[in-house]
Amino acid sequence: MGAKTAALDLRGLKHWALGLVSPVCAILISFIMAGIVVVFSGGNPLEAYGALLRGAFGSAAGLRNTVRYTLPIIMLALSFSLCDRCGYFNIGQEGQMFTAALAVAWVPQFMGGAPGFLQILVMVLLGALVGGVMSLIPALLKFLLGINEIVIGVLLNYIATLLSSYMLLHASFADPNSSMPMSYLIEAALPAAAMVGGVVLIVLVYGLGMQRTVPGYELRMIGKNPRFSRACGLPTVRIILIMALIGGAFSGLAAVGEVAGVYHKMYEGFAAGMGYNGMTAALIGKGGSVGMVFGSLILGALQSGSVTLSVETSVPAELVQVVQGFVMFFATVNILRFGFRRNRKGGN
Amino acid sequence: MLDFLNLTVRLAAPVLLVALGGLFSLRVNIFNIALEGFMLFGCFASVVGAYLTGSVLGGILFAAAVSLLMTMVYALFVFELDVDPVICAIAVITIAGGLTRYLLIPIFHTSGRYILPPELALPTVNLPWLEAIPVLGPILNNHSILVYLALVLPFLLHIFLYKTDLGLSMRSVGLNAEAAASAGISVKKVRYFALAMNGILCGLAGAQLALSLNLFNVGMTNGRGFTALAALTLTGFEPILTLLACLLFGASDALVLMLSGEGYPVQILSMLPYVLALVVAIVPPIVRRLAKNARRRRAERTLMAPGRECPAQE
Repeated sequence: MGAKTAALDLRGLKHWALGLVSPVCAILISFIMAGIVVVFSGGNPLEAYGALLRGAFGSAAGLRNTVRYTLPIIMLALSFSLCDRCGYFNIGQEGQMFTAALAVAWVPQFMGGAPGFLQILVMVLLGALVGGVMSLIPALLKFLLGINEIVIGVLLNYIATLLSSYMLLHASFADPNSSMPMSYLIEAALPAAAMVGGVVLIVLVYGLGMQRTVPGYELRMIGKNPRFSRACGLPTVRIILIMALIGGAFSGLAAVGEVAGVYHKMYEGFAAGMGYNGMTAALIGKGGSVGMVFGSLILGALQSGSVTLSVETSVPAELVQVVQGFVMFFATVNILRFGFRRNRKGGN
Repeated sequence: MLDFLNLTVRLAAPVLLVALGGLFSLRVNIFNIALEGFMLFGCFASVVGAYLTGSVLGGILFAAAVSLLMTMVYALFVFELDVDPVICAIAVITIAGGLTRYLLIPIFHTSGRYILPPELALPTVNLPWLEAIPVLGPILNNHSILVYLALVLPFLLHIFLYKTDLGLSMRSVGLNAEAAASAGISVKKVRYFALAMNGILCGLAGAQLALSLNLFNVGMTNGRGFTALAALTLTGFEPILTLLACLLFGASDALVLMLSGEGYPVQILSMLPYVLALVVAIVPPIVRRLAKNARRRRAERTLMAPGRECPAQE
């Protein structure tokens, strides 16, 4: 009996290790491809990657920065994979972040006298709510009218970005004395420990809940086959919409962390390009929570190291974006499956 | 007013070229949301090509070539490696944004934007015989070759789709790939062809956008690829209707450009094309749904009308 469970565990471990091959390969290939780009533009890729590594992990400040960039990416990756499981492609994360950040920046305006923790609480709740509602719009349109959610999501991103630019110039929370469009300083700050703790808690709840609970099981079932789960008596559409709401709330929370925890103000374009980070991390992790945290860490390290990159070498920090794009591109390929299929063909 | 319509035609051209490119993909049932990325590659490549060869034509050809190459890589991934086309497309958009931003620095030693010398701007064509026509003349005259190409192409494409063998093959692949395959059509070849055309047209769209302003700006496509997709979903992939839809977007772009000088908040004005695209994407399905419901109610009323037997229950 004991031997049997051990064998099962070994198989599980092997499965898990095999699942790691494809994302790790994707990341390696991406670095090589980006390295080729660097060589062609007259730089030294090894020097560049060394600087990235030193910048991200070489000092206490660098490490802190890496964690700081990793946290929102984890939230966005959770948001993306939660929605992706239900067949809702949540590409509107940037729009969700911008609108949630607007709500956060507005909170001190109407409850300026209230104690700090109360303001933070309202910011968190309001940010999550606004993000969720923004995510619900494309989801509703998709499941009620069959409209492609990607087009709607992207258009909403553009509209939300422009709206936030406008609000940061003209709304009551806009700071008229700053050189660029931004909000007033937010006095009530979200402590770093709370952010780390919150994200760890959410990841744990997500990871365990997905594997060990009935709602998690139902969710996985809907992801695998929505028609079957409807036949099983699940209110499929309602569950999907709730998941879209929660997914949007996660993006909103990422924005709350950025605005109230890191910058202590909202400024124009603070979330530009972040939505794709979450998607990439979710892709590396293939929906599993460990892989997702790993993917977020790599992307966070890239961002945190990019400062050192531009200071210490002649390679511009924009390289980071190139690497990110390649990671996403190659993470789509399931190298293992491709290998197996070729083997089978050879056998026939 | 005539100025406004002239501007409308000019601003509609890049969206129209992208939309026609996307039409090729959609017609073979590939929902290619990477249009935005291919167009951005086209913008960048046109500026690089014009800079390196010192001629506008070089820029246009280079844009088409680079965009073609990128679509072929995309096609390779989607058709041969079986990747998720949507995620792969978003990866293409991310790479396009990152690479163009990055390569601007080693190639032009500047960051964010590069302005070509004005003699490398896309020249406009002045046709005296066109000028002579009263209303149409001032609207249609003084555009670049690419604008004229964009205006003629929908009609050619209509003929291609409905009057040629290859067009028929394309339509059948889009409607039912398996049936097309069993009828002896090489589905893969048709799809590669469609994506190649998609690439070339996106490249030309990028060239028109960048070279008509003789500059490259980071992220200058600004969602035009997605606007084109919204236009396509509105028109059901019909080339000539797409021309009309894109003229609508051109008009909204022109309106933004004309009103922004008059003290209206720029950010709110700039939302107009996106809001229009949103409306265009949302309203037709709602109308279709309402019409369907109305039809059903009417049918029920007729069935239940007095003097008619009720359908037997069980």
